[in-house]
Amino acid sequence: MANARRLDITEFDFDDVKDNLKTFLKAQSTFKDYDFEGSGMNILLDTLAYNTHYLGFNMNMLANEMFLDSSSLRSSIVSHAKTLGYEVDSCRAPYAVLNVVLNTSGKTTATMSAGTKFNTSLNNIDYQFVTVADTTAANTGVEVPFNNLKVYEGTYITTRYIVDSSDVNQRFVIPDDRSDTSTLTVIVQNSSTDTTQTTYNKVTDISGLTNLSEVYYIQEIEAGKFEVYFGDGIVSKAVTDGNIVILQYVVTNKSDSNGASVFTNTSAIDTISDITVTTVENAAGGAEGESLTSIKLNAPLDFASQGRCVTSEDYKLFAKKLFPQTQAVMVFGGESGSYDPTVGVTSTASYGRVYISIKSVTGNNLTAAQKTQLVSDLQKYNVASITPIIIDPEIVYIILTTTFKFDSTKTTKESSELETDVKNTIINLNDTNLKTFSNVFRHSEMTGKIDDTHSSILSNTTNVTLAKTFTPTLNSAIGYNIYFNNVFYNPHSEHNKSAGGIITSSGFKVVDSDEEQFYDDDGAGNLRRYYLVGVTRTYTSETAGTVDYAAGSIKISSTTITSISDVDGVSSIIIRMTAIPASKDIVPVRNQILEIDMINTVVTGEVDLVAIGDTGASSSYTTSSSYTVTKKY
Amino acid sequence: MAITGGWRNEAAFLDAQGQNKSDRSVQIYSDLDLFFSHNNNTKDVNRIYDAQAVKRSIRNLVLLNTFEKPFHPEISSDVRATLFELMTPVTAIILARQIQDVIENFEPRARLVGVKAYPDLDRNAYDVSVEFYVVNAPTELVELTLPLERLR
Repeated sequence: MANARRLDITEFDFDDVKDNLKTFLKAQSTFKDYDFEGSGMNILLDTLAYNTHYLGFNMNMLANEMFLDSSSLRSSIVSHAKTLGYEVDSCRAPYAVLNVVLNTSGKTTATMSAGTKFNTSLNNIDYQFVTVADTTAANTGVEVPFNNLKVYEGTYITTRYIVDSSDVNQRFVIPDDRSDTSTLTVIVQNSSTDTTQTTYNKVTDISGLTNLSEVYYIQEIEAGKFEVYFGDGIVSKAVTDGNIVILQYVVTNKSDSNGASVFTNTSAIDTISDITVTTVENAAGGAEGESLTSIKLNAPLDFASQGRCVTSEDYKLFAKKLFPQTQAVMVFGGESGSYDPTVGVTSTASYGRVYISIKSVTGNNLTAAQKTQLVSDLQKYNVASITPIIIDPEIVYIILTTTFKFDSTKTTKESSELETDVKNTIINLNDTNLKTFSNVFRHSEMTGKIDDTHSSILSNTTNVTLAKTFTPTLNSAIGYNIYFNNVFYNPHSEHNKSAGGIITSSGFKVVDSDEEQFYDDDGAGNLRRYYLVGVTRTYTSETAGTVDYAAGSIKISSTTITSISDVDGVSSIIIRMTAIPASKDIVPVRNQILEIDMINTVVTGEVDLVAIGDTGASSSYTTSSSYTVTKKY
Repeated sequence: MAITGGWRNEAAFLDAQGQNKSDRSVQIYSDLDLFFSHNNNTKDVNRIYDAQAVKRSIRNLVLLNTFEKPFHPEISSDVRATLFELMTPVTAIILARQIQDVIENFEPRARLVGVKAYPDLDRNAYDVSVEFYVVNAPTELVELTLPLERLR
């Protein structure tokens, strides 16, 4: 803008453009009033600047939409994803697995047609579940059982199109944006007079297609709907004039009915009305369509993986894709650990396997059927010699004991209000930084955030205890392994032996004793079991198991547990073990997830006597110990 | 801004639309004539000068409603809303005050003497009289008369 004769064109903001035009006009003397808001020239400048701003903004938006990273319209993002060969997920209908038995001896076989309805109710709202394919079963003598029948929540819809090549705009659109495309069946009928029907399959790999391949392609189009299209007669078989394209699919309420468990048939099936319906698996799997963030993240990854699972990142991507309820996923190869149902996840190598741990959005572990389904879905993309194994995530709880000092002259809040604020800070950090795979608990970050909670907080001492739970099998003599995978605090052999070492447990009872039992350790690698007489520990076993301080693991020898005490004041089926870690930074290993146990986390605020100028402060000031005291939770 | 005939005070209506030229030799203000009148000598669009340019500017400001100026809703008198209020002497004072504010805020060339709004009940209109000095001609009192009615 130094040279008034030159029009600066780098600005697109309205006021900047207008200023530049004014600078430009300074070079002439014909019109002098351009700088007064009411003048005719100013109104002309408004028009020019507005127009420039408008076009500049338009260009900016246009340029943004041209790239996957910066586009914001769904249609643009989906289109970019398509060029990368990425198929965007539609919403998913929840599905349940049922055993349906027709109580009849009069039929040798029975057929349950696609669209057969089952009713259920969740939170006082009725939902309808439907089958999506014809199923036939044989009579066993007194009944016709349809076992492991998959039913989807929603309405079974059939849409028909008559192919008309003279209509250049004809598209085979699934007209509802709540359609689950995984339930889609595409049938092509030759014509209205020739009712021969052919079921087309969804294309998975175009390399093996011929001009006779009966496959369909699917893509998301505007407004979140999906469009089915066919080959051109060269890549794969084309549809011709008069063909009738029949689309059958489920329109769903997405995740609303996840968890529905009791199902009843609504009408007779194949004329039989004496029907028994039992639920094998509750409704699950309902999900929204793929989000824009997810498409932006996954489309390039999908392209990079080239439709194959080779690296652990590939497995993460495919796990998310094949199991839409995935919130977080962790994958590790067999070389860095293994899983054995009897001992859990250990560092023992097991080559030729890949372990996939999934945290579901529902918070529940995957059911056996979901795991089996995912493994079989993954087989198509897998390297042949590798076996994928789905394991549940393990949660390691962190119990914090925080004492903070605050300057009461700098705040009107009482210590109880500040304690609540600090608890909220901890909850926030728990929600944003933890609760997922590979997220490390960093002690200094936590203490820093606690200090930053309020300007009156001067310092804090925060101690860390780890907790993990296990579910014992009652009345069976079984050993248990609990892996914390973080080094335990054991500065010397027999550390804290007399006061119970660093291990504690919640209570339980064992066979041959009516006393409530607990575990502790002797600081020398032995797990001990005791009961309390008053406050004195009476040991029933000095070698109830072993503790590996360096590996951070506890092995409980074979014990017959008969009952379990309450945990956190409520009846429980789990026993909680706690341990003091050597480091206050905690790392989640493999399938572990860290989470702060807010029930047992204690926050205490104290007025800082020095800061408020208490005359006796120099002698009465107390500090909190940074050493974590072994305490039973 | 169509000019309609049949006004009882046509001179007032045309006041802000005249082409009068200052007879002073140095013209400080010169503006585009938004009526785009044709100058037969130069074959170009006419320019307007000094007091007349300021009059035009004041008229433009008074007739601006909120949000009519792109990105600057504050540059407006918003008399339109007031014109649709019940016609009372109080409303006339409010109207005059709005006009006074917009001139004082956004027309630095005018040193305002006073604004008066006369309600014309029969025609549902106001005759607004604005008196001001143009800052570079402090001896010459300029009077601008503006008819304001709901439908323009």
